Amino acid sequence: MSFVEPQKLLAAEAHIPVWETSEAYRRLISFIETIGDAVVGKTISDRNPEPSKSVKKLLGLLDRVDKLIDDTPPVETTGRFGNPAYRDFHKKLEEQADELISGILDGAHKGAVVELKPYFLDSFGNAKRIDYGSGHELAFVALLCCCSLIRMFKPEDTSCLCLHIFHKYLQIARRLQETYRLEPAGSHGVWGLDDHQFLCYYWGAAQLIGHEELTPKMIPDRARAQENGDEFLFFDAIRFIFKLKTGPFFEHSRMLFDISGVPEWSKVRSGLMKMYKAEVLSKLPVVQHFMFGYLLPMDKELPAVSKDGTKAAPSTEGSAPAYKPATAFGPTWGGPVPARNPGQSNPVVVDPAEATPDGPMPMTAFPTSGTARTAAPAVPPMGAPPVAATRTGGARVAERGSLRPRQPPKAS
Amino acid sequence: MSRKDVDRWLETLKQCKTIPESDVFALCDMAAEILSKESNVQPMSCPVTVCGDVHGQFHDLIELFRIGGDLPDTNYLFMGDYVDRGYYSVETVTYLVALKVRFPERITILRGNHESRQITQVYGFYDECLRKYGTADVWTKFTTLFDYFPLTALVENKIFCLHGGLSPNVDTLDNIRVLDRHQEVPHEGPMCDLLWSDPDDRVGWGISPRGAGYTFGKDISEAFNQKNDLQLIARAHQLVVEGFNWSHDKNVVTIFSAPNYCYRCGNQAAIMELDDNLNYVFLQFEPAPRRGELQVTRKTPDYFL
Repeated sequence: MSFVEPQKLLAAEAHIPVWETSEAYRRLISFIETIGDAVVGKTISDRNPEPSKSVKKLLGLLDRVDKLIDDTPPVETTGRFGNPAYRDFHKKLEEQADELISGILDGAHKGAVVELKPYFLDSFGNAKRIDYGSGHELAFVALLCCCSLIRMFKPEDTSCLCLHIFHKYLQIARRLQETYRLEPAGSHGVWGLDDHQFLCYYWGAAQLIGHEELTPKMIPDRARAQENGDEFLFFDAIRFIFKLKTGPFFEHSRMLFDISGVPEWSKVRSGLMKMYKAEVLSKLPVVQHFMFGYLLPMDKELPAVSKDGTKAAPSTEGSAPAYKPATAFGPTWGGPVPARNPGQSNPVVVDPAEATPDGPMPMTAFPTSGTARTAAPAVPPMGAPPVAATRTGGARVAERGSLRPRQPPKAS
Repeated sequence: MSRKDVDRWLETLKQCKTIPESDVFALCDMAAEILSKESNVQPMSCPVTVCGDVHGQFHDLIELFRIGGDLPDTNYLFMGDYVDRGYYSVETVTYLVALKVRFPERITILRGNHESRQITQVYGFYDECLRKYGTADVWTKFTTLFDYFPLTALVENKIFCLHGGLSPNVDTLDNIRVLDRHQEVPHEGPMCDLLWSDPDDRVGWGISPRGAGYTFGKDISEAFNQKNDLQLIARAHQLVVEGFNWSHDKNVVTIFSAPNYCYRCGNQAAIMELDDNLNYVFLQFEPAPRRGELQVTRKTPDYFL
C-alpha cells in the first residue's frame, strides 16, 4: 500500500457531480449505510461489552482527546463568543496527533499515519474559526472508514463503530461545543436539521426501526428524550437540543419537528440519507474541505476550473455559497465556502410614480396628535421627545458614559 | 398605497404575522424609493438608539422596542443582519422596512453581510421565504431591496456606524461616499470589507478567518478615527456575550441585539442610547417572555415523502 497525505481537491461547483461518482464517495456512502444496517433494532446497551482490540484502541484514542479538554480549561473572556482556549486544545491535538494515530495502528500499517492524521485533526472542529459542523463529523467518519479499509475491524465490530466509537465521539464533540462555545459552522439556523451533527440522526433512526413504542411523533417530546437518550442516538441528540436550547421546539428545531410527522423510522432513515447526500455531501461549502488520499481516492478527472471558480470566498458566520438556490430546507454545514457568485442581478430601478400609485407616500411621518413638535428640519431630521412614556420592557443599564469630543486645551 | 396601508401592515406585522405577497411587493417598492435617496454614509442626529444584529428573532425585536421606546418617539439606527438563522426573518425584515417607510426620518436601516442573495441561501432566509410564501418571489424582492440599504451612518459627525468594520481601501468617509452600493455584496473590495471586517487584538491588517473582509488592529482604528475626526466606531457583526463590547481602547464598540442567539448562546442583548449631548447608555436585555406553544402543523420535507 502506498499511503499519501490526503489533499483537498473540490474547488468548484463543476467538481460536485464528479465527486458524486468518485470511488471515495462510493466508499463513504457504503460505509455509512453498512453501519446503519448493522444497528437496526439495536440499543446502546446491546453493544458488545468486550469489543475487539481495534475498537478498544480507538476508544482509547478518544479518551486521550477527552483528556486534552480536561487539560485545557476555557479562559475567562468577555469579548467574542468562541473561547480562545480552544486553539490551545487544537494545538495540543496537532502536537500529539502522530503519536495518537500511530498508537491505534499495528506494525504493518504504521505508514497510514500520514493518511489518517488530517482526517483525525479535522474531526474536532476548526481552530482558526473556532467552529464545528457536519463537515467535521464527516472527517471523523472518513477516519473510521479508512481504518476499516485497512482492515482494522472485524465484521462483528460494525455496530460497535456506531454504538461505541461514534457514541463516544459525539460526547466529545458536544463537550467541545459546550466548553469552548464552538460556533455552528455555517448553520442554517432554525431551518437546518441540527446546528452541528447529522449522522447521529441517520444511525439513530436506523436503531429505532421496528421499535414498538417509540415513534417519530415523539421526537419533540422532552420527557421521551430524557428517558431514551441513553439507549438511542436520535433521542440522545434531541436530549442535547433540549439541554442547549430554550424556546418552542417547533421554532428552534423546525426540521426535526417536521420529521416527527413522518410515520415510520425506516422512512426517516431513508429520507435522512437523501438529505445527507443533498445537504452535506453535495454542498461545496462543506466538501471543499474534504481530503482525498489512497484510501478515499478521487479516481475521476476533475474538470479544470477558471481562476475565479477556485477562489475561496467568505466563510463560517455568514459564508458565501455558490449562487444556486437551494431546493429544500438544509441541515448543518461544515466550514467555509468557496465560489464566486456568477449571477449578480442589477437592482431594479423603481419608478417613483409607479411605486406610489395611490398618491404620494408621506416622506416625514410624524404622529398627528400628542406632544407638540416642531417641524422636522430636512437633514439631519432627528430630535426626539423624552421616550420614557413609551418604554415598557425590562432592561438593565449596563454602562453610562460620554462620547463628547474632548475640548482642546484653551489658549491662555 | 397610502399611509393607511402601511399602518395596516404594521398592525399585522406587530402580531408576528406575515403580510400578503402583493403587499410585500408594494412595500419594497416604496422602501426602494426612500432608501435610494440615502447616502452611503447616512448622516444622523442625536438622540438616537443604536442596535446590532437581530437575525429573525422577532419577539426579541419587539422587546427591544419596549425597552428603547416606540417609534417615532425614539429614533433608531439598526446596523444590519435582520435575517437568517432565526425563525421569523420574514416578519422581522418586513416590519423594519415598514417602519422605515412609515417613519423614514426616524429610523435608519443599514445593510449587514446577511442582507445578501448568497448568504441568505445558506443561512435560512431563502428557506423561510419558500416556506412561508410557497415561492422564492418574496426572497427575490427583498434581496433586490437590500441593494438599496445604506452601508454606513454617521451620528453627529462623530460616531461612525456600520455592520462590520474598516477596509484597507478606505481611508476617509469620502472614500465610502463614492462607492456604488447598488449591487450584491461583493466578495472583496471596500464594500465587502465594511460589511465583513472585525476588530482584532493584533495590530495592523490581518486575514479574516471568515474568508471575507479583514481584521483590523487598534492602530488602524485610532488612525481612522483621528483622520476622520471621529469619537467612535460602532459596529455589530459579532456575537458578544454581554451584548456590547468595547475594543481598541474605546475606539470601537460592538453591539449585538439578539439575546440568547439561536435559542442557545445565552448571551445578553444590548442597545446603545445616545442623548443630545452624546452621552451614551448601554441597555441590556434578555429574551422576550413567550406564551405557550401554539398548535403548529407539521409539513413533511420532500426528502421524507
